[in-house]
Amino acid sequence: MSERLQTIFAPLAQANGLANEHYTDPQVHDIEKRALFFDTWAGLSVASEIPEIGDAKPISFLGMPLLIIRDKAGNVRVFQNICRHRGMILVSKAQRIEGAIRCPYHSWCYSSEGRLITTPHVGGPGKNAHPEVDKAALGLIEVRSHIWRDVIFINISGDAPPFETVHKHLIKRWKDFDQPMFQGGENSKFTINVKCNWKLAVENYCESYHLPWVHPGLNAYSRLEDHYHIEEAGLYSGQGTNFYRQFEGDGGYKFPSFNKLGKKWGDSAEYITVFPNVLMACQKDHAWSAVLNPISNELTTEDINIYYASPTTNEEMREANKKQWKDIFIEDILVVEGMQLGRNCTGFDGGRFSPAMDGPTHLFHSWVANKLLNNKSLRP
Amino acid sequence: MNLTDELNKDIIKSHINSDSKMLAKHYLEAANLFKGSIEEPFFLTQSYVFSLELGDLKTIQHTFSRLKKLNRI
Ligand code: FES
Ligand SMILES: [Fe+2]
Repeated sequence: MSERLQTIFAPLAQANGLANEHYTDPQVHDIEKRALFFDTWAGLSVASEIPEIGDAKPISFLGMPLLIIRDKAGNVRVFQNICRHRGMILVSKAQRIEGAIRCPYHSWCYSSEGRLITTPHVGGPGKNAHPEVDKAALGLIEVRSHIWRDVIFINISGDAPPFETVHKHLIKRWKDFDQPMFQGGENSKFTINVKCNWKLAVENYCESYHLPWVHPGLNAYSRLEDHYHIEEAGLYSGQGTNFYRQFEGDGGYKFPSFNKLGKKWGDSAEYITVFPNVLMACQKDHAWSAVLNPISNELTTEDINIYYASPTTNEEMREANKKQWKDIFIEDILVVEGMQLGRNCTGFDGGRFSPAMDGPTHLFHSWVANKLLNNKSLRP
Repeated sequence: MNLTDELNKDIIKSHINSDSKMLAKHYLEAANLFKGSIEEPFFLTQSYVFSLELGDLKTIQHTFSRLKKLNRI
């Protein structure tokens, strides 16, 4: 694999993309799990999914059962969703935890901060302690997490540099949007399942080349020539537009803009993939995120949430805006699923990039190749 | 000594309904019924666990302090 990966680093005009195995082979998917997800800051979910203290939600991420919970102090925490006794799944459906998390098997109980509170009958009937069972050492296994723009990013290996260090460049780029934003409720979220490898969803999102063909409806107000590439090696890539037209309802209703945005954001909007798996958008009147959850090498779930500058925007407009974005995500299904199928053709060599249009995709492939080649657990 | 049929039925019903509140209550009743006997800490433990799950501070403190006194926690 490593020789072929080296070819990705050829200049854009000469490079081929990632080989088929990165899309079709479950074993390669397993390797990528560790190198591209466990050792980096990957998107898991959004904090607005658990708004109240005690809200808990189980999520399977890359086959690993995780639990997100808002603890008593209001902080979001992520745990491996298992009891330290016999490894039983602790929480199997979204719920509000009023007191302790009680394991359904032998009822060991944990606090929302992950502390093991009690081990009933562990020393025999009615004896709740045993000198060999050290409760202090048997708390829930916490996964390192960081919230940015409502997205819960996690670093499963626990040894990546801090999120703010890794992404300081992007945080600065979008600093104007570092202000309160409000997830618009049920009519501002949707989920899409796509029968493709998660990387194809990223690659398709990064480039504007496909817009005139796959999203002809955008042509009228988002012309190809208004778009620019966003390429930050090793971190993120995407596209921006210099001609952002605000969504407008009947009667001229517009969503309120975020406060005190710089001049650039009057007409611009940016669409960026934070590697590995979070698609994000900033526009002057609303933002959104799509967290990709790879279910397998050929199946991906996309969870989309839309955010506004005010907690009280027009409900019908939010519904209409959601529909607009959902339609665009649905238009992309044809191509991402088509590319997945195409990668079963033995003759496909990773494809040729458009030297003018595919820079952001190539940059993503280089990130993948680089992470794979440098991963500590994969080096001989 | 046995649980009364009625209390036994209540406990089983509460388990079926996953009703932590009633479980904490009925197990405490059982603990009181067995006060001073070898079974008391067992029932106290059961009540303690379900009151923890519920976040019922009063029952938590009550059962905990009795278990503590019995040197069972
Ligand atoms: S597996 Fe959780 S208490 Fe036994
Ligand atoms: Fe698209």
